[in-house]
Amino acid sequence: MNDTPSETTGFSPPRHWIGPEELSESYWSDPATVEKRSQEFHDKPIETIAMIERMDKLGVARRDFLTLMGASMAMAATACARRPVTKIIPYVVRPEEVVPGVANFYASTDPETGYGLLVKTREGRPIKLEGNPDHPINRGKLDSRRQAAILSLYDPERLQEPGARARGAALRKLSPEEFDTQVAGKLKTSARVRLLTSSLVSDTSKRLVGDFLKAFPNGMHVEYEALALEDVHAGQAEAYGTAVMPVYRFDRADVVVSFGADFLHTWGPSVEHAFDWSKRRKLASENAKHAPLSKLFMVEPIMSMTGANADERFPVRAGDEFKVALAVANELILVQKHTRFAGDGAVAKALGSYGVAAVAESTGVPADKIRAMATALWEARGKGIVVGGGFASQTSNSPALHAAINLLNSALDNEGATIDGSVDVLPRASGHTGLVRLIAEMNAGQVDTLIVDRVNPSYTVSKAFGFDAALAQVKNVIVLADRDHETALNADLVAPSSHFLESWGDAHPRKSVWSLQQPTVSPIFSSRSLEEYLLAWARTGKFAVTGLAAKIVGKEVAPATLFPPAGYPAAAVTPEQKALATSGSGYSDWHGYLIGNWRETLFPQHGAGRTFESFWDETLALGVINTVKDRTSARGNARTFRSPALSQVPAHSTADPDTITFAIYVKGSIGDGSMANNAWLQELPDPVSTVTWDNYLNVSPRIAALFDVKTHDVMEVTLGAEKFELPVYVQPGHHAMTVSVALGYGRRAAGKVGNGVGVDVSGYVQNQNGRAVYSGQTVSLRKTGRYYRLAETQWHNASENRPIINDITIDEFRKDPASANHTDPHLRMATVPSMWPKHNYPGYRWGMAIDLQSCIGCGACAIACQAENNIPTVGRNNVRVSREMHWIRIDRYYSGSAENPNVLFQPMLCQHCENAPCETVCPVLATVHDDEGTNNMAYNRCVGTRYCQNNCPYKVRRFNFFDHWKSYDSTMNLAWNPDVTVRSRGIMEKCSFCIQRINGAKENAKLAKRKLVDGEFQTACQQTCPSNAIVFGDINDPTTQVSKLKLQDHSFRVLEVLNTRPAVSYLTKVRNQSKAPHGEGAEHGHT
Amino acid sequence: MVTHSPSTEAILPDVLVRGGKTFADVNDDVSRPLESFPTGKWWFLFSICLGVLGIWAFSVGSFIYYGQGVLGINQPSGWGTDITNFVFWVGIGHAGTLISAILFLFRQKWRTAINRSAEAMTIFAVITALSFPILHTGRVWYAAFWLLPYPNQRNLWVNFRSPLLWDVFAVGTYFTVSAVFWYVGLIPDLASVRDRAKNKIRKAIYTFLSLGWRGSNKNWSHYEVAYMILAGLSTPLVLSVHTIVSFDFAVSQIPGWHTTIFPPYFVAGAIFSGFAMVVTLLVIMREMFNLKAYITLDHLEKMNKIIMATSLMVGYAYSCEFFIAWYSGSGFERYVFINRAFGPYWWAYWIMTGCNVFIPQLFWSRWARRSIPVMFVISLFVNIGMWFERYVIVVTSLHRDFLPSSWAMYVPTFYDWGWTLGSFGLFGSLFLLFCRFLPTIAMSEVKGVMPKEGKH
Repeated sequence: MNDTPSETTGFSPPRHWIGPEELSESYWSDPATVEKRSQEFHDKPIETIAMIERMDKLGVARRDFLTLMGASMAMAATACARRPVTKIIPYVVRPEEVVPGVANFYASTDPETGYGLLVKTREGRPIKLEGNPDHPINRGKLDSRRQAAILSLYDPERLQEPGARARGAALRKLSPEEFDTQVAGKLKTSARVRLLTSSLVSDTSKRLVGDFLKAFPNGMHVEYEALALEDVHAGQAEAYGTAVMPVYRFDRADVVVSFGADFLHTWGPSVEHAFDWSKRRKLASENAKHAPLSKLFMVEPIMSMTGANADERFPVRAGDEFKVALAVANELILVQKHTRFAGDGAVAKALGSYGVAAVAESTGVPADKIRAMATALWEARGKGIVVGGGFASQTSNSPALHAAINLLNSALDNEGATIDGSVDVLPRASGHTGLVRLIAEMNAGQVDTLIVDRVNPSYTVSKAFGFDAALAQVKNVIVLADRDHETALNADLVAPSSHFLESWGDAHPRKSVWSLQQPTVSPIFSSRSLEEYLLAWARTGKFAVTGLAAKIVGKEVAPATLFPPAGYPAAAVTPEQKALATSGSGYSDWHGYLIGNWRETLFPQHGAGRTFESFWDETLALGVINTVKDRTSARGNARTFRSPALSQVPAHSTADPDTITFAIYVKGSIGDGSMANNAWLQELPDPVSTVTWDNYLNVSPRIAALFDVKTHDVMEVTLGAEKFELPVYVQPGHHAMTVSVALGYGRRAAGKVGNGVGVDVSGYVQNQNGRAVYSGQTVSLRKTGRYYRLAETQWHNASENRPIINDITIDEFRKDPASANHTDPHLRMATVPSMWPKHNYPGYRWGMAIDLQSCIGCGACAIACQAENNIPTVGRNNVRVSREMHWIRIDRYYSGSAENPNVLFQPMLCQHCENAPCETVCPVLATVHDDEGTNNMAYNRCVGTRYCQNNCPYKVRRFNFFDHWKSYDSTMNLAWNPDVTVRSRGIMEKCSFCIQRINGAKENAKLAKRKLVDGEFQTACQQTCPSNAIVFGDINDPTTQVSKLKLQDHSFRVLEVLNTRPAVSYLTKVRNQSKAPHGEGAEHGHT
Repeated sequence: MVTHSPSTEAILPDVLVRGGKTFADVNDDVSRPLESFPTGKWWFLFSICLGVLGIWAFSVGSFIYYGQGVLGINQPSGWGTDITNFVFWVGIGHAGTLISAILFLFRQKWRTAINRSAEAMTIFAVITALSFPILHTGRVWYAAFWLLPYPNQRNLWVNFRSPLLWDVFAVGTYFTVSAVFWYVGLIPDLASVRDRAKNKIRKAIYTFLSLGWRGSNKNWSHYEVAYMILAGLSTPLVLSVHTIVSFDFAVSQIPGWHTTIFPPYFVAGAIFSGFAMVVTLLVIMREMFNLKAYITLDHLEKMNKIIMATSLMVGYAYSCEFFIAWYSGSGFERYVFINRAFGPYWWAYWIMTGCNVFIPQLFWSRWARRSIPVMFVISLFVNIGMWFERYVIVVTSLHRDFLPSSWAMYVPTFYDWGWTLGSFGLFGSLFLLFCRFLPTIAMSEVKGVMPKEGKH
């Protein structure tokens, strides 16, 4: 610029200028400029106001300005969040970027089970997990553990940084680089490297592990899964030659007989089982009265949730299940001479001593019931399933049990029809076998470096296997863990491993299903996944890795893209990078490896007609490659049963009826204890006992009477040389002389929530020649006289014959579906007279129907609701005084005898009454009715008189006795759902029918100028329910599913006599049992 | 008592003031506690009451600070000692107005000796009672004014369908009217105290309080009319307050609460407990302030007769509830009443029945009616029994209502008991301050029922 004065006018442009117009002479001579320069303040307040007023006239109002400013700030703020926008493809909403206030869903996979997930994220943080409806295994449904996984992601007690320690001592922090260097150093001097992980469901991970371990002269991968169903695998191997967990098609089964397998809750892919099994239980069609109903027999030592759902249930001693199975086989094959095994000598020899009468004598299962089972199975041959196993039934007799089960399935032609052994259910495949070999190697000093990931053997492995002692023999122990857990305490180097919502991965949970796991948030702490660690170590140590890993490691990369996190480049990805990435070799990291592997293996098979880029993007968006679109058409080939499997069957013997047998079982919520620090799971009531926060000794009413103990009394259990003490829970339906305890408790290094909760019984698992035997040991009991109050949510177990839950038998149902509604004309009035006019619901009217026939009681809905609606946990002491906060609870009632009762589950939530008793008594109008039929809470208005809670006949209102939200510590606050108010203390809360979801859906419909479609949105409980027991929708519209269910004859509403007119109705539970003591087999579903 | 022989008493049953007192003696006797330094007995009682009030302050402060969770309430039992104490204290507050207003309208002259302290008791009992529903809310800081309908820019309004709101008005009105009635009655006596005052500040205060009372004919005629009108206004309130308090329960639909007998039953119970509390206090007061000549055994005997009569009424109500529960045919109702008598809270039920129905039957004996120790102990039992009556109603109905899955026990905590006990400290402190600063006996009225031959 020319800064010399103009010769003609003497104008010299200013040296520093703000706008280029200042460089022209005319600007300075402009009268407006002259006037402005003469003022002391350039912007007068009065002028600003005038300008704003002008803006109003122009259409930009002050409020709009503030709105825009707020929105800009919100957007600016969210732009600061670390979000892997470049690599993640939204599933449902597909804008390129995130819109604040609008949730994005990303498809992913749970690596523990292989279930498909939709991860709901808001502003870059995952807040809720839902099932991926396109995933063929869980089909949109999840269980309580998966629902609660979101809280574990934000657990502030996760391990945050790598560190080194003298074994057992405190952890010294290391930077990720230092950690990698130290690991590489240790690996360099190691010839014999062992990598111990849980069963990897990912082909890609397995490939990388293989590539990595080939760099060492003697590298080996060992899989160990704490809760593996190894007895099933072993039994399958004996009987069919393949150690698989077959796929059970409960949707095809008319008759199911389970010998201890809690398949609806804790055994195998339970969400898939519950989904399929409940399909055959529904009596809600147009022709419900004549619809077929499947039948479930359960023979088990403990009262499992599946047993609670059984039509006929027979408690037997842990270890006696196989006798009943063999008696059924004996009856079918030897007595009735059915099936092709009738002439088989090996079979006859094995079954010979297991006559129905003898077994009835030794097990206590009535002979006619055993015959009825046999008849039912025979009549439903090819359409039946016999399953068995599970920890309470994993005794020294397991081989015999599985031989019997497999024999029955083959004899009845169920094998290949309802049981597909050609497909291996991969998750939780590997049990103790590999571990036992590894421990032997470790003890022999043959392991230089042990890398442990995802498993916690120091806690989960019984001391009978001697893992900890063996660990001391290993030179270098490197543990990758989500927290500084029991095994990490015994390691030399420890590093945080990423949560599955933070890392890439894939899963191949069964033949023909591949799904992708994509990160939905950057690692919160300085964590990486196993695969990222392996690649980083390979690079740091310059190990001679092979295969695809060699290509990836060979890439030159800037350290910034490696630490941390390896998965995400610091800067936005350029199109060139993306092109490189999708070409399969651009990335230098695990993500690139994953893409590379898919490009090499899956793209050629499944990407026909597409570029890899579109194949990848579409798969990522959908989450899964499913080559089995139609599940019903998939049938396996029947495998041939090998009679020698029966050689494991011992001769029939009778146990001393006075001995007490010990059984270990697993809870659906706590599982192996790996998520023990998750307060949601700790506070989820056990479906059957309703106890939270602790494990306990389940005893039968008989043992309680023998030892004069009641629930909460502490007993001492002597098991061989070991003794431990546990409070007693008197469990109706438990086998009279068996006692049982849940695994997964008594964690020592889980965190402040999980430490010291309950007693660890994993040490009592026995080692029988390398085989883990969980149950069947003989124990002796002693009453200590001490008392420990268990935190149960329900202590009164009978329904007192009140009109709150209906259950009838199938015979009664066929005669009159509404028979239960006619039992008490006084308490079940058809119409309750009212002097008041009815409410008017002009538009939508929301209602819910819950099918008690389908509800299995698992409690997934309670955790889904907790995640969706920001429901806090209250802790053990507050549960003890009945202050749990769950908005939906599962009420459990027993009927019949205490020795073998019928069990009823009833999800209970706010009934959104038309004439709500809570509304009239609130003095400040904090709970009000709206014209869509929901009963709403105005939290800000509530002063907490608790009158509404007193007057609620359903007792579904929850009071904040303390500031429970404070239980959400530091990072846990990120788990809140921003759509739902977080409640302070002193106010009442309750189920809102997920009003945030209703309103969200209504907004979308309004924008599209249409009415909501039935099923367009779901409440959180409905969404996750594995058995589809909950249906929600508009009951003003007679065509909706919920309206149709409400019109069923066997629909009823709870306490209708009070004229509350609830919006929630229930369908009567129908048991496939006849009341007649004999001729049991005559009644089963396919009539 | 001291100077009269029993035979004279027998001959002159209607003599309401004993001991040959003159009008001047009345002024001297009644004003003495106001004009002299408090006695050791007073200080002793006052320090006890203040200590107990300290427990109250600690308990209340704790749950305001930490949350209602420190109390024993839980999910089925949203109410516990809070509403128990509220109803108990409102009940206590009934006798005062009944004595002063209804007995006044019925020209029961024996009321004169006790009406002042009974009214004071009403005022303080209602103050104590009102503290409970306010403090029992989860957010005390809002409840205190959100429960009142006041115009505000947020267009928030209260719910006139809620019995809790009716309570606000019923108890509020009762308190206001009782306080005005009491104060109007005090004016002539305050003027007497003013006239006797020798200290300037004292004189100024009582001058202000006596509203320029000169004892003129005009004063007296206005006073009589005003007193009559206020008595008329108060009378229906005696019935309405506890009727409306009972609506808290009767209007809800919890079995054991939802019953039409509650209004008369609660009113009878309130009078019952109120009279028992008056007897308790009068026995102490006449002892402490040497007022035996004014509060005579005749007075106390009359009170005891009323206690016995109302005891029979509540006894009838208890049995009637059982009959109706059976007669209704409702399983819910039947269960609640069987559970009351034989369930886990059987002890509370039988304390209630024993104290309220059986023990007062001792008053059939004239000796018992006229024995100070006996009536004192019985009145204490009635107070305990009536506290447990409310406890039984609140707790046994809530802890097992419709859905057995939600049943749970209610166990009061340290803070519950601290709050309950502390409320007696609050009441006692106020009452002792009243004894110290205001004439405890209506001097002007007592003079009206004394024999005329006394000099003045």
